[in-house]
Amino acid sequence: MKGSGMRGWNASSSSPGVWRAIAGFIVWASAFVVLYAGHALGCVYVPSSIQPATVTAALVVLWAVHMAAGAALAWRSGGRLRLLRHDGDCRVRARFMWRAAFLIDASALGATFVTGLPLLAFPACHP
Amino acid sequence: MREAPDNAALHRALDEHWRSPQGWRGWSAVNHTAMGRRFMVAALCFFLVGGVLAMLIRAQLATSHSGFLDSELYSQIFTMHGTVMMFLFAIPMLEGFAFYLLPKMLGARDLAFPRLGAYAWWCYLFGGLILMVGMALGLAPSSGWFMYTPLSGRQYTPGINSDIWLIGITFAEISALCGAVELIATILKMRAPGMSLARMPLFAWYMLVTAGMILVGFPPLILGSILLELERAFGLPFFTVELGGDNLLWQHLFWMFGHPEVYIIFLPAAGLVSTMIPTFARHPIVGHAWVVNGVVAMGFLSFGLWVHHMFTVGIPQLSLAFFSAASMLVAVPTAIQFFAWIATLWSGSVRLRLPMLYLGGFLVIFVLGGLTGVMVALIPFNVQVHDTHFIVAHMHYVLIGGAVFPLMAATYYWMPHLSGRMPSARLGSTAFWFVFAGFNLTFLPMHLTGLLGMPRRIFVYAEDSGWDTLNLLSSLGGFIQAIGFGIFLLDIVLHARKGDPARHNPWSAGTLEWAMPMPPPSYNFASIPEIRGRYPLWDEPELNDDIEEGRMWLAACPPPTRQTLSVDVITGEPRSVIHLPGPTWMPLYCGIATAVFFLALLFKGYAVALAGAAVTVLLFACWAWQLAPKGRPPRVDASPGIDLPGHWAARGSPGWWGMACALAADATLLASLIFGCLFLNLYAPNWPPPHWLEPAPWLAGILAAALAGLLATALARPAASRAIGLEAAAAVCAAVALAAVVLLVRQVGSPSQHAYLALMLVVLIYMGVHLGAALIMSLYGLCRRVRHSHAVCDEELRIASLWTGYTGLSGLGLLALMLLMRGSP
Repeated sequence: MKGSGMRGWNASSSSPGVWRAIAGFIVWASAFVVLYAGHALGCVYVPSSIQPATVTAALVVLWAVHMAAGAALAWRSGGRLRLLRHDGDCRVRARFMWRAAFLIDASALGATFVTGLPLLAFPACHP
Repeated sequence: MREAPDNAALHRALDEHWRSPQGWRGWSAVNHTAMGRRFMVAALCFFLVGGVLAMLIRAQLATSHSGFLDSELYSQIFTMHGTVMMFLFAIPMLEGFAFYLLPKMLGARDLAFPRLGAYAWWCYLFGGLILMVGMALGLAPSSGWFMYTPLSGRQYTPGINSDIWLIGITFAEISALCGAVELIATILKMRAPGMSLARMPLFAWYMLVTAGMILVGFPPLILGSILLELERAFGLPFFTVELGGDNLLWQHLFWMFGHPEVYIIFLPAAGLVSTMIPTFARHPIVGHAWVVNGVVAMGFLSFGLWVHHMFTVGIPQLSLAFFSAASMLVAVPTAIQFFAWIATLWSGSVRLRLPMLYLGGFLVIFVLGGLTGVMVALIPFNVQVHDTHFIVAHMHYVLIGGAVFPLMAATYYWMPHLSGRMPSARLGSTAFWFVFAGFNLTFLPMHLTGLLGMPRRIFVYAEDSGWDTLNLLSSLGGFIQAIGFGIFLLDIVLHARKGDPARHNPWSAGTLEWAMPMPPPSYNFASIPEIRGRYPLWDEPELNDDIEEGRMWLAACPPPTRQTLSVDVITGEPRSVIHLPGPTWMPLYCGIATAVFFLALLFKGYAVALAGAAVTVLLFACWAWQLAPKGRPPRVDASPGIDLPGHWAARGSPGWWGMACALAADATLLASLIFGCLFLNLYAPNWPPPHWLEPAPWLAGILAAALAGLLATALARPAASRAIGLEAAAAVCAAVALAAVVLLVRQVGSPSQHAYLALMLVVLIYMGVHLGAALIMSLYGLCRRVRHSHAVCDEELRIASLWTGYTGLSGLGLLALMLLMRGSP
């Protein structure tokens, strides 16, 4: 059969899966939901006397945790991509998937940073 | 190398298996080419209806104090214009393109679930017809395409108008969800051998993300529609403020769908653009991985924007700022795609053919719409222009620029593929200039009328408002645009009869759909090609001959059934051979039964609705029974020296992916319901309710134990050897849990007393419906073991256990929610 010489599909088991490739934006989605819902819940359940500072501090911590998770993902995918280049690995599939994963992780990290920035500009629980 | 079989005999044998019946029996066809065409034709008809409605709106607004339409009729017309264009034209048209093109681009002979695709089309048609008939009878919805409460509620819209929208649109949304499930399973599992994700065409990436967005974006609106219909029909007060409801809940649920919807429309169109531009630039797309990143980023970020439609409703400042940030962020991945397209054109050698003209129009108009999009992402500006004609102008620049121009380009680009004839460059370019000039004349002045303060949705305005000239210009532009669309349609009709015959691959494209005769044969590929690059026809110009002469995969002659390949998700390694069903009336029967259910709801015939639902379930069970293997599926000689199992015997079959996708949509509906509970609990006035739902400890215990048991049966490693025990255990657990849920429903009392009780009733109904389905699946599984025990595969169990596992897990979560909500502030 024509083309049978290119068999070797299992050669790149180092490719990340689909979920790993989009993991960066899953972290962003989690950050967005946690900040939005955390703000809503915090402003209802935290006593009003300690409200703005406590809620803001808690949200900043949650934001930082997500940033750290996003940075770890980007660091790891960037490392895998560098490794593939360093080894001269020319397997298109693995390189593409790690490059895509790295770009997605890095973009998502930037998005998580920008999404949380209003925490530094606006007081929590202000109508 | 495979010996080429007798070529003519191979094509004849394939055509015998794959061709659709002729004449009226053709309505039983399920093939993706037929379905794609049906979706496109129906969507085009709805587009014409929506266009006529737009002209009526512009005729009314051309002058101040126009007496052409009265207030009620005008409200019906603008509501139907938005509804038809968003729900019945844009998404179905793009799904039609995807249905038609994707298998051909991916190297498959059909979509993953041909019957589901046909059912989706019937649901779409029937849902659309409900709205059309309502409009013809003067009963069209009149509360705007967003159906804000309380205007759409029973108090202010007592007639059937809002019900027609809620039921017709929900019916049509089932179609979109079925289509999304079908597309995801096809893209992930039914590509040509060697087509890894790295080599997958960009259009498939766009459609993969879009289909995922449909799964997550549509359920909030389906839930909102169910809640509003329950309020209208039974007085359950989800949106009634004095009884613990809140109108803002509707706005949240609507815009959780409504904003991603814009990207659900734009992304497939952008996918078409990303396919056409490399062809006319004669250069591969620049920044392939960046474009994929941009598409994924848009898919996610678009779910963080919905509140920018609600900046003026009084949401706390910090929350607004989160949404404003996300609204501005989404411009970045959009710009990445734009720069990739421009860089591709810059790097290549551009041929200015007819579709390229429309692509130029798209690039200009969508950039303008995108820029005003960034403006309305800013809270202070948004507050100023909220509900003015500025927003109308922005929305049309985005949607017509972002979807209609690419669709027109795509129509001209793939027209030779559909009909085997070339379009007329002269008529096509005339149509373009009419549409382009008319569009800008219509909507550019609308920015100014908006900035001058003209509100949306008004049917008259004062003479001294200063809006007359601008409105007259907009109306003139609208009619010029309509002439352009008329010429475009004329070109389509004329080319089918008088167009010059198209030569093979007339645009010299690199994607796989052009590696077949035009119009395409019923089976797409005589043999399924092996792929070595992103542009197979540029990489291997002789690929077409190898395919046609049966030198590639699945070229056995005569083929035993309708067959195509299933591959590994990442690598594109062939894993199994899928046996696909042929023409059948079953999707039509299921569509009719579903229509009976919805129509009975519309006319408050609840006994008939229950009967319709029961018949639908029964038909689906027959459908599954027909398709399940009756004997051990044999291995298939897929190519010399390689035999592959049938799809039932392989793990991760399209069926498994289909169920996983359906459950993802289901989980989103559940998440929206939980959001509704929390939102009303935290923000709605007039809480707490008159009494909390207090399940007796023994009843809660039994329910929890039964749900845990159901989850355990799903987690037990599915194996055919112990199938009967697992199925029986699952059936018992589901039956016990269902009985417990029925007892809990009795404790709710009168759910019309307060939104909390109404929500608890909906939570229990959600659990009950899932448990009922789990019970039916388990009983079905037991019947399968009794009748065809030797044919039962582990994969069947794995698919069923996805449902039972989800039912157990979600049930436990909802029980916890129910218990936690008691006594909350």
